[in-house]
Formats: sequence, C-alpha cells, structure tokens
Amino acid sequence: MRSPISWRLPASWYVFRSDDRLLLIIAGAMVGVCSGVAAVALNQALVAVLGWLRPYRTEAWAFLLPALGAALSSLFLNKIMREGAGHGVPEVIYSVSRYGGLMRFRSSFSRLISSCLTIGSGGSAGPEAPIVMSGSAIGSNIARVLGLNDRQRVALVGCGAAGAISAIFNAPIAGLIFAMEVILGEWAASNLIPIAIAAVAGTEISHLLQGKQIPFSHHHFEIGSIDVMACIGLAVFTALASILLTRSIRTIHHKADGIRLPAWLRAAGGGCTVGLIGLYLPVVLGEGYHAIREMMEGQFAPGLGLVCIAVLAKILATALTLGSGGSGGIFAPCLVIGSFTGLAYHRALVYLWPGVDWVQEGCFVLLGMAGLISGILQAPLTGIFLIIEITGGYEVILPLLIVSAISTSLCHYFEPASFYLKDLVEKGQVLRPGTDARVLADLEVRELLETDCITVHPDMLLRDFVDIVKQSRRNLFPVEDRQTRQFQGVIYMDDIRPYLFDPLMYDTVLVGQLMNARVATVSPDDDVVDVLERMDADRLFNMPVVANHRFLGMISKSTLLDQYRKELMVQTYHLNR
Amino acid sequence: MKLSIDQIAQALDLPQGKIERWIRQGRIPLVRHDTICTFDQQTLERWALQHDLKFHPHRKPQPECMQADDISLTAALRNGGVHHGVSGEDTDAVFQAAVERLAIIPALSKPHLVQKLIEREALTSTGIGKGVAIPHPREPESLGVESPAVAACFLEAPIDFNALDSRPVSVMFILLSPSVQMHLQLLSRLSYCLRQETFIAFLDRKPDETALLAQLSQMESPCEPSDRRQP
Amino acid sequence: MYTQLFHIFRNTPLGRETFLQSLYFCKQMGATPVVYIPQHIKFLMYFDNDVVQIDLDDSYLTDPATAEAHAREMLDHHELQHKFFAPKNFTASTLPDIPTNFDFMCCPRSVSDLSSKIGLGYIGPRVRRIVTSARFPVLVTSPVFKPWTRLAVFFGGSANALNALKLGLRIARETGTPLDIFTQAEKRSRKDYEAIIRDHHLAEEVKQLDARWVFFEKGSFETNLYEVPHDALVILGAFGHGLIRNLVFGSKMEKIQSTVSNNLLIVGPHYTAGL
Repeated sequence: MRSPISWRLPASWYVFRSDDRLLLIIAGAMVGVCSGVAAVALNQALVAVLGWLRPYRTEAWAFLLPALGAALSSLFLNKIMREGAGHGVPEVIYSVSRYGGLMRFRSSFSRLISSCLTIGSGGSAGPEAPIVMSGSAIGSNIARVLGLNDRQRVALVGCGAAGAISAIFNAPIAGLIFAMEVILGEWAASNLIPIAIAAVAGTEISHLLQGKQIPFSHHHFEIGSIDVMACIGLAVFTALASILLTRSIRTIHHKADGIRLPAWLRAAGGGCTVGLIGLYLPVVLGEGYHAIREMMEGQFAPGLGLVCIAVLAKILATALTLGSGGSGGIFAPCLVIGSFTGLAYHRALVYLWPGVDWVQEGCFVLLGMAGLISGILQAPLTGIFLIIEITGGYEVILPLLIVSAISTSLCHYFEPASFYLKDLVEKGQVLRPGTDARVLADLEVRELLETDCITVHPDMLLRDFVDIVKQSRRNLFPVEDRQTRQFQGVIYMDDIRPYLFDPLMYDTVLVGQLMNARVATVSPDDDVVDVLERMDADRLFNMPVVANHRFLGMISKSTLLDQYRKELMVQTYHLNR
Repeated sequence: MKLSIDQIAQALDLPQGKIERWIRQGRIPLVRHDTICTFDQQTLERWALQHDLKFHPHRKPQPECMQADDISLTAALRNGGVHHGVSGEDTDAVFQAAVERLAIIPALSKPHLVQKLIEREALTSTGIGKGVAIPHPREPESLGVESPAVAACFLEAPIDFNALDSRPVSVMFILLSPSVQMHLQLLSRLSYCLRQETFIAFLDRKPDETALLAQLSQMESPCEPSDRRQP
Repeated sequence: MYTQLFHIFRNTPLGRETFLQSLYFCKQMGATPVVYIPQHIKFLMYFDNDVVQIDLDDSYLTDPATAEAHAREMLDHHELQHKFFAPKNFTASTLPDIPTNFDFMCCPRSVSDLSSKIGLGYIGPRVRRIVTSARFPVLVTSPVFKPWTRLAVFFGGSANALNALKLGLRIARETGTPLDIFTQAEKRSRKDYEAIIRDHHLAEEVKQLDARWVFFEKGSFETNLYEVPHDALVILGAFGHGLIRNLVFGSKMEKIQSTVSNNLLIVGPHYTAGL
C-alpha cells in the first residue's frame, strides 16, 4: 500500500500536524502578497483606463461611456466567467459562515476585470469589494491546494481580505480589523496572527510595487472642544446619508430586477443615467478618491449648495450603478459620500457661526467618512482604525469615537443589519461563529439519531408487548408492518399506561389498536432548526425519524441538548481561551 | 497513533458523522487519510479534556439493552452461601451473627454492614411474610461488593421481625449487590420464587446448600422473561 | 440504511434515457431517487475541500412547464419512493447550492457541453471534477437506457480499485447480481492480486458471492475489453497508481470509458463508504 502521507499536502506533515500556526503564518503571508498584488493590479488598471478615456470625457456622448462599461462588465461576468449575479463581500461572508470559506477559483480574478470595466468607464462604485473578493478567493484556493481544513481555510480567507484592504489604503490595522469584524465575525487569537502578517504583507507589496503613492496622505489637525460637540450633529447627518444610500441601492436593485431585459441592457441603462449625472457633476463618476483627496486638502472649490447636491447625486449614482448590475463595491462610494457630508456640514457650520474658530475642513471630511463606514457596514472599528491610520494622529480619536458610535447606533435602529449582511439576514443565512444558528446548522438529524428503540408489529398481542416493555429502556415504541417493514406509528407509554396493568386486556387488545398513527415524523435530511421548531410548536420531546416509510430512529430533545452542548464547546473553545 | 474513524467515534462516544465533520472543519486534532486517522494520543486526550469529552481508545460499544437475566439468583446464592443455625434473640443480634458468617465481606466492614441492615430495618420491616425476611442495606453500592450475593440464613429459633403477617421469621435472605439496579433484579427474582407455595414449604424443611441451589436453578430455568408471567 | 441517488432531470429524450437508467439503478438498489429539476442554469456543489460550479447545458432548462410532469410519470411507472429536490441555500440569487451528501449521483457523460459532443471517450470536465471531489460514486450512463444484469469490477490493485471492489461487492450483495472481476495482469501475477484482496479481508466475501475472476494475461487491454459482458454495470476506480494520480484520471479508466459503452459506476478518490 502507498504511504498515506502525501508530499502535496503540507497540512499532514508531521511538523504542522499538532500546531499549524507556522503553516498558517507562511500561507497567510503568501495570501497577503497575492491579494496585495491584486489590489495594485486593479489600481494600476483603473489609472490606465481613466487616463486612456480622459480625452473623451469632454465629448457630448461621454455619458454613454459608463453605459458601455457597465454592459461589458455585466456581459463579462455572466457570459464569459458565468459567475452568477455578484454579491462580492456578502458572498465571501456566506461562504465563510456556511462552507468553511470554500470559494471558486474564477472568483479570484473575475471581479477585478469586471469592476475595472465598470469603474474605469465612470460607474460610481468602489474597487475594494472586488479586491476583497479576489483576495479571499485567492486565500481559499491556496488553502485548497494545501489541503487545509475549514478552520485554517477561513483564516486564509480572512488573510486575503485583510491583505486587500491593507494594500489599498496603506492601512494594515484597518485591514486586520476589517477581516475580523466584517468577514470572519469572531475575534479568535489563532486567526489574529496570520491575518496580521497578511495585512503587513499586503501593505509592503503595495509599497514595493507602487512606491509610497497612497490614496490619502497624513494630516494633522488641531481639534477644539467645540469641534467635538459639533461631531454629534455630524453623526446624525452621516447616519441619515447611510440609511438613504442603503435604501436607495436596494430600491433600485429591486426595481431593476423587475425589468424584463437582459442583464447587460439593464446595467447599460443604469450606466447611462450615471453618465448623464456625470455630465453635470463629474465628481460622482468613478471611485472618487481624487475628490476625497481634494476635500481633505481643503482644495475642493464648489460651494455649500453644490456639495449638498453632490451628496445626493453620489448616492443616486452609486445606487444606479450597483443596483442596475454594475460590478463594484460600496466602500469607496461610502468614503466619498462621507466626505461630502462632512464637508457640507463643516461649511454649514462656518456659514452659521462664522466667528467660531473651527478646525480645518479636512478633519470633518475624515469624520464624515468614518461615520458612513460605521453606519453602512455597521463596522465602527474598521471606520475608526481606517481614519486613524490615514490621519496618522491621535487627536481625532475622541471625535472619531463619537461619530462612529452615534452613527452606528442610529443606523442600527433603522437598518438592523449591515449592508453586507442584509441579504443574508433576510434569508436567515447569517451564521456567525458561536451563535445558536451556527451550532444548529452544523448538527444533522443523522448525528442525533437514537437507535435503541425496540420496534413492534401491529398484530402483536398486548401480552407480548408488555414483555417488550419490560426489556426496553425507552417509553415509546415504533410500530412497523411485519412484512413490508413500513413505519405505521408510535406507541407512547403515557397513552397505554392504564391498560398495562389490566391482565384482562392482555389477550384481547392488539398493538395496532394502541398505536398513535398520526404522529409527526422527521426526515433525515431536515434541518435541525426546523425539527426544533416543530418540537416546540407541538410540545414534543421525541420525534420518529422516517425515510422512505422506514423507521430509522428517534430524535429527542435530550440527545439534542447533549450534542448541542458538545458542539458549542468545540466551536467556541478557541474564543473563550 | 492510528485508528479508524469509527474506532475514534467509539472512543469519544460521539456519532461518526460528527467526527468526520469536525475533522473537515479542523476542530479536532486528527489528520485523516481515507478512513484512517493519524493523531498524537496526548494531544487528543488533552483536547478531549478541554472540551469536556472523554477519550477511551478501547471503549466497548454500549449494549443496546440491559438484559434482565444478567445475574442469576443461583450464582448470587453461591456467592453468599447457605448458613444454618444462625442464633439470636432479636433482629440486631441475628444480623450480627449472620454477617459474621458472610465470607465475602471483609472483617473490617462487617460492623458497617450490620449497622446498615439495622438502619434499613428501622424504616420498615423486611419481613415479607410466611416466615421469610429479606434484610438488605438501603444504599447497596456503599458497601463496595463486587458481585451480587444472597446469603440464605436459617435461624436457630424463629424470632419476631414485626413482619407484615406478624408471623415470626425463620429464614432470612440477606441481599448484597453492587448497584441498585442489580438489587432490584435480585429482589424481583427472589420474590418470584417466594410467591410459590412449594418453595416456602421447601424452605420450611431447612434444606442444605446443594438442595437449595438445585431447587433454585430449577425454578430459575423457566424464568426467562417471556414465560415469566403467572395467570 | 437509507440510500439516495441524486439525479438532475433533463427534459429531453436524451434526459429521459438517463433518467430511466437512474430509476433502474434505484429499483435494483432499493435507493430513493432525489430528482432536481433545475430552475437555474448553474449551481454549486460544495465538497469537502473543493467547490465545483456546474454550468448546465441549455437543454436542461427545456420546457420547464412539462418537466415535472414528465419526471413524475416515469417515477410513478416505476413505483419508486422519490423526492423532488428544491435548493434551500443560494450563494447568489441565481446560484443555488446543491448538497453533496448523497450516496450516488447520476451524470451523463457531460452536463455543461452540447449533448451532440457526448460520445465514447469523452467525459466532460465538470463530471470529472465531481468524480474527483465527491464522496459518492458517480453513475455515468450509457447513451440509451440499458438494464444491466451483471456487475463487472475492474481491479488493478490500487486503493481506488479496492474501493471499487468493495462497492461492487456491496451492490452484488444487495441486488443479488452475479459479479465478475477483471484484472489486466501487469508485472504482477495472479497471486499478488489475491494477496491484496486477502490483506483487506475481502477474499471471504469474494468467495461467498461466487465472483468470477477474469485475468487478462496476454493481449492489449483494449482488445481484452471485448470480454466484458454487454449487459454489465462496469464499476471502476477513477485513478490508478501514477504519480499524478489525483490530478488526471488513470489510463485504464480512460481506456475503459472510451472503449466500453456500458453504464459505468466510477469511484473517486474520496469515496470512503465501507463494506
């Protein structure tokens, strides 16, 4: 026989068998580098496409460019890559929570190309989600090649996401936090180290390939107590903008789904409208980093009224691009809308109280971004750390915390689930580690089967049955036909107790007469969640499991609790260590 | 160390499907190749301890159903022995004398057993009528007997046991068992025998050990569950 | 216990032949057919360490209005306990997830390419991925429904072949069909192969079932394949001994699938069910 240890699967090497930390660190660094490269590639491609298209921007037909880009990207995704309608980050979260992070290989590059088409042509969307998706898929596929198990694979998927965010924003901590808070949903120490390594690797590779050219440069702000007070108001506006953006994307998405047209035509329609908006307000086009940079530097020329319109226009453009089927993420638009909101708020303050010594515009722009990220993604830590790393200073922490906290809580009140989780929550598919849903999703009826019941036949005399009762440890007895072995019903001890002590009935009553034939049964493929719900609804403690008219065993609440507890212990041990 | 998945499932007392899933999810320190798992025993034991599980590599599969005829009265009686001419004025003294003769009880724990028998007797009489008593300790497992024993003690002179039918007792069956379950099984078997008038009459003749054992094994042989009913 | 065969229903005459083959297999094995009538052109199968996206050929979505009626008609005719499968989980709104805990799956030679390409010697890339990743054996049907009355196991001594043999023994036991074992002797003698079977405690059962063991000691493998009965269900492991055994199908497997037009039951490397 061949040796079972394979040279291709390092997970089974002796060094890594008992402790896989080293393996995960090496693989994590690899994944971080790959997703960093993906981030740089998309970034450079976007720069190239934008430069290439710039001469045509001034033409009258320029509004058709986003339409063309969106249509091409939709065609590419659906016809060439056959991806299926794209969710981006939600798909990553779904695969992490349900399938241990298994992702298709094609996902590791398809979104890069399609989002490049959408954004490069002027669609209002962000490159972050596609890069996160690619990074995660790269991580997942590296794990697959290495033959890793679910836990290790999930860590590598997190590594991919962390590397992506770190590389884009030159912010390793934000990448780390994003991966833990948004993608994995748990703070396990075992995941932390590989993900941190991947975040650093992603940042470094981005430095190496495109120099210190980072989207946002460091800034220093003098923040007074009056600014801190003003932040509370800003948080309210960012929360409003978040809710507006979430709702409008979903509304347009549902509207677009209702239109009976090929997907690429719908995307083209959305792109066309965005292009028209862009004719009047070019700032809404593309991912918008350029506009953010200008605002942070305080060089954004348009006045208060125009900025307010820009907030709404950007929301509309983003909703049209993403809702109609363009490919891209929501992260960059969030930042842009946040900056516009912050800027508008700052200018309004200056207009109302010109005498007060307000901090520079740039500070409120940053706070607005944090507010939007916290509100839409319901990920306050990601927002806070991203801004801290961008500003490189600690002065902003206090207002940052205030804006993030208030914005998150307000949004949570109106939109209980984050933008990424919304679809999953609606389908009941959020299975965050250590939750009840997660534990129940892993348990299967087959695992809970109890087979120590003694089956009886309907033509048995009560006298014979009493003997079986003596031998059994259970107080219920499945009845099956003697010839066909088909399941007929169940005898519950409670129902027959009065007859058991009546010897007169021993030879006159048949088991078939005592049986409860209308008993609710479970199929071995049922979800344990459904089984539990039915048990609760009918106040049952046991249910027979029947497949193909054959009795397979019983499922009982006591075994369920026993196995549930074991499962919970195993799933959450590393969290409570 | 190498074991197959079903052996591991048995050792941890978990369903096999669960073990397979845990290996896939990386929740258990096992490396799987087809059906064989490689692991480090210490690591796995530590893991089991941390997760409130127990790892016994050679655990036998649990019997599907405890058989009622695991212990035979004959075997128990052989353990306990038959004792004639046990003397004493009252129950306490009789217990004292009877326990002295029990070979399976170490000398040190004899006073303890006597104490237990007296305590039980104080609750209600174990004299079940027709001149028979079945003294036993209330918590059988506290004695540390390894196998069930029944000691038949024929008294020198009948004494008052405060029995149900107020008749003086001339025969005692002292029941000692390692668990309550066995105690109940022994009791059920004994009471079946004692319900037979012929057996009572047989006891009145104070038979010797061989005769008593023969009689009991003869009565026990049709004692299978299916034929045990009486009209 | 409770065996299930997963079948993706194709509402075309070709699909009908495949379906009849599935139903015949279920009838023989006492298995429950789980029928999926696709609503979407693609679906995902999440295996232990791989996810496979299956893009179905357009003909799978032919005339969805009559699909269920057609399927039911055949199921009722065979009087089989059956189940229609409706996906519960979706990776994306048009991308359902299909569970992978079935005991068998029926595939035509290709699911994602035009059916005109289907012929001997061609097994589509998706079907190959399924075989490579699945824990269940895959039933690759002949183009036209053909009941089988014998079993033919190809045994070349590899771990995969052992699994195929175990599966063959199981089917022979459950259906009472006579079993033939075919071995092309390469470098090793008959004794070596018998030793392998003995080492894995299968010899007893092989004897009990009165299996006929055919050794090809001379001649090329292709010409020897003529010996395989025309009405046999051919059971074989997908991979052999080679170094790249888990990457491409074994050479024997390729030769068999391009020479024999029987129904094939292919056992992949992850198949673990015991005897």
